[in-house]
Amino acid sequence: MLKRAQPLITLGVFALVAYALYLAFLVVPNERVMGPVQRIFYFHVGSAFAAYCSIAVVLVSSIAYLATYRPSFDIVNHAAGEVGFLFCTIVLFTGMIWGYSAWNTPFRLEPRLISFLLLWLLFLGFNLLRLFGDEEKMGKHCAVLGILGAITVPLMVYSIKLLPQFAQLHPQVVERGGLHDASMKHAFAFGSLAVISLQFLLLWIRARIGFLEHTRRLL
Amino acid sequence: MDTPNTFPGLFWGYLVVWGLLSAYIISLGARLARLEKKNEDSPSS
Repeated sequence: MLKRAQPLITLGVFALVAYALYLAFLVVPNERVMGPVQRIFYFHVGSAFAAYCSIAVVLVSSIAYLATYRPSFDIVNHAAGEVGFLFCTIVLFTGMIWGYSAWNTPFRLEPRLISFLLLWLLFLGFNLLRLFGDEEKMGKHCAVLGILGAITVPLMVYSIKLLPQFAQLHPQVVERGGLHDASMKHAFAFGSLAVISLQFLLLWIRARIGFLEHTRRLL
Repeated sequence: MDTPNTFPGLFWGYLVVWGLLSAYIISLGARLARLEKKNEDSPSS
């Protein structure tokens, strides 16, 4: 039934993405200090939320796989690790472009940026292990690496509090009371919802590919 | 207060996001279609 509903779900997700783009480009005003580049924020932060959702799926499937050794958990783990890495890459690149436009530097050694780079490297390692690892032990190794990657997320989220705002470039939006403009809040909510929905759609399609490949291997 | 001209940054930012996502979506679609076709063609299905 879900397979039959896929075109409808895909259409719904793309409509949501189109609405979020409309809000980000045509509805919200320019941010007073940073200008148009601040509009990256609506997809940069949404992509970070999407990456955390994928990593949460990696964590749950890793624990479930280590507890049961059922291949279905390994397939979901593989799919979530791949989609999570894609969204981590998007966060890293958009953050660097935003940083270069707004602060004249794409990267600086400060807690949030270093901890996110560490997370990205862990998921790069996860995907390289999937490509080149030992077939027999791959599920177990990836589950352990997935748990290590997931542990990095709360450290990365709270790393922003390690230094005061004046000592780091990454803005502390939530700590400073969040967005104040109603249209910005609306665009942020829909931008995040759109990217998270897209991430779950991609995760679902990637997991279906994994299950089909597994079925073919068993034939 | 004048805002800086950061539009090229915005352009490149969104180009990276949609470029990466489009490439991934196309690759997933192609893989899924190929696997479904193989499954339909295989004699055991």
